[in-house]
Amino acid sequence: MTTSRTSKLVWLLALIGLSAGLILLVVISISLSSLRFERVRAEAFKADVERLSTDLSNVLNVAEGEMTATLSLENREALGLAWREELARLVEQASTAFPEPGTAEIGVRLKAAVAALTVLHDECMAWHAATEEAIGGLDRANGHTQAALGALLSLLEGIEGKRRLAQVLALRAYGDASGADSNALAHRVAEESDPRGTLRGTITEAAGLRLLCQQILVEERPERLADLRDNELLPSLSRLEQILPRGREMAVREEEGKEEEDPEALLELLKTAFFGEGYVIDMNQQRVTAGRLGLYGEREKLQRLQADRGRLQRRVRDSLAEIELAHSRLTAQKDAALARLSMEAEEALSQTWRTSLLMGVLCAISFTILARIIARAAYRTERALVTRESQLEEQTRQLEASSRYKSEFLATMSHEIRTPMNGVIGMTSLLGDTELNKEQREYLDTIRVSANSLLTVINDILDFSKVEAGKMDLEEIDFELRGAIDEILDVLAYKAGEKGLELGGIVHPDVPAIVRGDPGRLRQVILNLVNNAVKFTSKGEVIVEVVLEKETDSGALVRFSVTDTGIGIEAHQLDRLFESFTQVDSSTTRKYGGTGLGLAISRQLARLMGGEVGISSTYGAGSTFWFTAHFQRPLHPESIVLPARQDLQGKRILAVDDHPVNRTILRQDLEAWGCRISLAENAMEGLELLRAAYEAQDPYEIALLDMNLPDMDGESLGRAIKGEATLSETRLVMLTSSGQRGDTARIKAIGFSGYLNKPIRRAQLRECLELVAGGEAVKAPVEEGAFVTRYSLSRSRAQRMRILLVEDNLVNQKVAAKMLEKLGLRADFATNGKEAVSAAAQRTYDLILMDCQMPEMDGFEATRAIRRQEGESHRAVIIAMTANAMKGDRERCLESGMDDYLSKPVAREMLGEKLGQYGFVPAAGEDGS
Amino acid sequence: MEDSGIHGGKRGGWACLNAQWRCSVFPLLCAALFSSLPAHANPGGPPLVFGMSTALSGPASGLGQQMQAGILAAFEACNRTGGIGGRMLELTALDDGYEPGRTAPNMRTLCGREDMLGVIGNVGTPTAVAAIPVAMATRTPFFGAFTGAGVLRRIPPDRYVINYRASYAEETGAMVDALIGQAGLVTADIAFFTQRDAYGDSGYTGGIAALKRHGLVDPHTIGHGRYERNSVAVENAMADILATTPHPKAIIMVGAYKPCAAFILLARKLGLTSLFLNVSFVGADPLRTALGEAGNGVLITQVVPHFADALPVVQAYREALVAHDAALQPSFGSLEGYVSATVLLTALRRISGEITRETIVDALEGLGEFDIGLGAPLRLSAEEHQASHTVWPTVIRDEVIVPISWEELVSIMAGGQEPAE
Repeated sequence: MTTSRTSKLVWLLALIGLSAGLILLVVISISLSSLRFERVRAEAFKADVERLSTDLSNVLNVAEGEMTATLSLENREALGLAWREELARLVEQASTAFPEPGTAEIGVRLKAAVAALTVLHDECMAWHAATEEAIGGLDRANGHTQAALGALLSLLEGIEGKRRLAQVLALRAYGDASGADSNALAHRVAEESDPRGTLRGTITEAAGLRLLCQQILVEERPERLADLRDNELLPSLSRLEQILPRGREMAVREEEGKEEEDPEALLELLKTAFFGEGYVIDMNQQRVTAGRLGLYGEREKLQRLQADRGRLQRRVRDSLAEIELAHSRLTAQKDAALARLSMEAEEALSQTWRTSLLMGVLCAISFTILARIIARAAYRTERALVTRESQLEEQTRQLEASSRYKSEFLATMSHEIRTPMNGVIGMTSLLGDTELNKEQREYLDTIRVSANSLLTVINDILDFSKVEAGKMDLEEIDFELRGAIDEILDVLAYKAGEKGLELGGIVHPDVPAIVRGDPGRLRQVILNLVNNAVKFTSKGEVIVEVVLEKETDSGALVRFSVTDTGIGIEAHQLDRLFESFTQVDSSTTRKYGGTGLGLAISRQLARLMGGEVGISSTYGAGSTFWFTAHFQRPLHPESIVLPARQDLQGKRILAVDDHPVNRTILRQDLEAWGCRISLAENAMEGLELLRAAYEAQDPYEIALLDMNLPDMDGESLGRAIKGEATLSETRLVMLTSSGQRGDTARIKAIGFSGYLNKPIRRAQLRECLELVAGGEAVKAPVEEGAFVTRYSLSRSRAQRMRILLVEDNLVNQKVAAKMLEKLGLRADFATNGKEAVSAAAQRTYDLILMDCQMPEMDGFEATRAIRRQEGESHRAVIIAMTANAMKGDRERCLESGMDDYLSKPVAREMLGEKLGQYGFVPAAGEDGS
Repeated sequence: MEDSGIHGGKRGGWACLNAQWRCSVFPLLCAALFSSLPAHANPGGPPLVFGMSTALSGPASGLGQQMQAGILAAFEACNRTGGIGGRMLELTALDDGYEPGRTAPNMRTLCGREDMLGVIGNVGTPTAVAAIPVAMATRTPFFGAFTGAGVLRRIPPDRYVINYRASYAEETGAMVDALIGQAGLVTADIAFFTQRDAYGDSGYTGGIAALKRHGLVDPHTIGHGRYERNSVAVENAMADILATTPHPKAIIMVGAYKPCAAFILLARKLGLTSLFLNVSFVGADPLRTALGEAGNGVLITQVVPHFADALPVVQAYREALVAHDAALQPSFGSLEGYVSATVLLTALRRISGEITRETIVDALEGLGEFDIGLGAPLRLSAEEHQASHTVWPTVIRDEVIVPISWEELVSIMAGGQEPAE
């Protein structure tokens, strides 16, 4: 509920955040786009106005240039009046360009100024035209004046030149002439002279007029012009007027009859050129009233126009300045407009900013509140979680404690149950050796059977509990797989035999001989399955088959199957079969007994061994239980070497056990085997006995130590013994009723030579002791060496001989196997000659029992093949088993390389005798139980 | 300067043109305004274009047309023989009416043309003064102008201004040398009549310099009369000469034909027996016409041989002129145009690579001493921008201008009459 609320809150938070973000985005984007629009507008406006301003400036420049040119009389190509229209248009545009207040007023002023400029331009043009005309007039007048002056001067020069030439000629003639002519010539010279300088004066005045004329043309000041007229020109002219008649007289006298230009007419022409047609000179008042088109009048006109030009120029300047001023004010308006636009943009921006800020603050506040709520909810959730976690931890602790208690309980129970069971079974065994009547024997058997059953049940329960509690550890030791199978079959052979069932084991040749794993657990599983099979089979057979499932990198997966011809199981019940405490149904329980734990334990053990369990069954026809187990490669693939047995006769043995019953059993057994036995109740006593014996130079060869001792456990005692140099030669065997799997390695490491679980079976004990006595005493911890356990004991016998039974007929195979079993021997099987040859190639066999008539390859051929592949070092004993007891067979057998032969049917005794001959079995068969 | 002379000789100038002349001049004038010599097929590449701004109308048009005709005659003759490296020659003549104000725009038009290689045969000193700055600014060769003024003969020379003809000073100098060397006169026997401006002064200065070479110490002892431009009042000048030199044996004249004629007539009237010597620019034909009978014995120096001479170049000139326009009469003006063009063509033929304004100047300067069949050595170099320094004397005899040699001067002077008085 908290979680859902929290999640709702988180969703709410996300929603608010999202919508706030969206709204902000929308607000900002609207503002930005409006701002951008404003900016674009402003830029466009600015560009417009600047273009307008530039155009206006350009046109004004043109106007100024045009008017300046007009006024300066520059002769350049007329631009026409286009600029005036352009100016008017621009001004019209400019005065309506701005929405600013005051623009209209400026516009009006601008328009007025432009109108004034236009008028002014007209005036300028009019002035220009007038001035041009005046200049033309002046030029013309000047031309007239110059012509008149030139003519006058030429005339005067001519007159003077002639007079001078006459004088020069007269003088030359005077120089050349005689006295009579001299007077006349002198008179002539005098006559031609101009003593009053009239002619010269006239020429001077005329030349002066020429200069004056130039001066008038360039003089600009009106008062000076008047001065020139009144004080220079008029006097000169009046003087010319006075003296010219004299000059004319001279000229006339010179060239009589010849038509000459009249100097006075020339003077009149000159005056007219100066003052224009229709001039009036009032000499009294010394005033000239100018006429039309005279030089002087034209000059004055031009001079007035020049004065006008100054005024016009000033007006043009003013007008342009006025326009410029208006223009600049307009520009200022533009700046104001831009500033306003910018301010509006600024305002919009700050408005956006305020809005955004407000929204942001609101969002932040709502976020904070929501976040606080969520945090509190999360905090509560976390607290709840923490509480639950601590509860869980507490539970785990309790569970662990209980598991520990359970383990401790199991260990205790194991010890407490096994100890009395050891007594019960041991005593029963001892009792069986005493004289008993038939009734007593039956009772004893019942006790023995019950005790064994009880032990089985107890072991099952303990095992199951251990597995459940995770206390089951697997051992890892090298062992012979076949031996393990044989042992199991050994154990159950009796039971099966009682029910009249055939019990057989088939190990396929490709199964590795030696593997590394836990032989005890393997045995347990197989035993379980075979037990069940035997239990639920009333007639027929139970076959154990061992097949190599597959090779793996680290070892091999081996499949074990137990096939019976029992009642079978219905298909629907198969699934439940491996559950704990389950049998096919409760009625079965009643009928067959059992705890129902067997299969469950089997499955768990199989799994521990890296395998699986399965079943296939046909109701009424039998079942096949199978399981797989993974074994590692053995560290020492070669056969496990066990010491030779040594007779126990006379061996000095110490047994340390706090349990009186056990001590009794051990004393009885050992004394029966001829041993010198001493007993100790506790560790200290044991140690003292050992030391005393050493002192007495009759040390104990073997010490049997119980694991559970009152003062010191068996391990510590063993360590102590091995720790004392004087006692370290003593061979130690551990006997324990509370043995845990995995102990063996530790025990062995201390220096023990053997290890047996209670209850101890006599045969095992004896064999164990014989082996231990025969081996070297273990002084220091070794990794792998001779170490006698229950497993190694059972193996020892079989290991002494490797037998291959070659028989194609399964029944005969079983029979032969059974007979060998009875002799304490185990055999590998081959069903024809070929298999036999390949088996012999893989493994070294001591004895091969060879059937002669077989498919594929008969015995003789197989024998020959085996012989061929055998090396020098080893030669198997091959004994033929043939049903054809015909003459010659024996020879044929021997010829093929066989050593001997038996005729079928082979009787057990006959086989025993024959094997005895070759030393494979002791002379008298030994029964383990 | 000499402008005045042409103005003054308006009537005379026209009068001297005979009917044939006039018939040929008008169509030519019209065609020459903006057109150029019609180009033949030009297998050797684009035509070689030269320009000319001269007086094709107005009082001085006679000289301008003669120059143009002479140049065209030379160009056409060259084109007939395959042009220069297969390229045809073209002349673009623009009319400036002898007004400097029109010369400058004409020059800008001509020099502005990419294909314009040079300007040749402009007439007159005032127009040259307006034209030279444009030629210098646009680095256009300005060759063979019809003037002997010092402004075209700077030392060192302007790169783009190259002349054919002898200067006025050389003409007067040659006169002085001949008068003293050949005719046995002394410096005091010689007087000067000059126009009162730079034209007259340049001739006067050259004459005085020659006199100084012949031992003159004080120039004031030499009679010198001047007349006002645009005036025919020569009495004062006569008075001035006679006042210093009562009996001048030779009067060197640097002026326009009209006042010169007036002066000679006055001298004849006064009975002077002096020899009158005129420089080339006076215009031999107008002077001859103006003097009429009184012209006999008046000496005129020329910067080209007589147009009837047997010299190879003059013969070639006459043939070319006939080929150009059979109606045209030979003249000193067209001969000068022809000779100038021949000098230019000589230089053009020597250009091996690309023909540009620069290579033309280089080629002209690279001519060194050369001969075009003129009977006189010509020389052009980077330092010498005037090809000819030779002055050919001619005399009016029986109202006909005939070539003489300076040696004949004595006999001419002897043939003169003493004043009647």
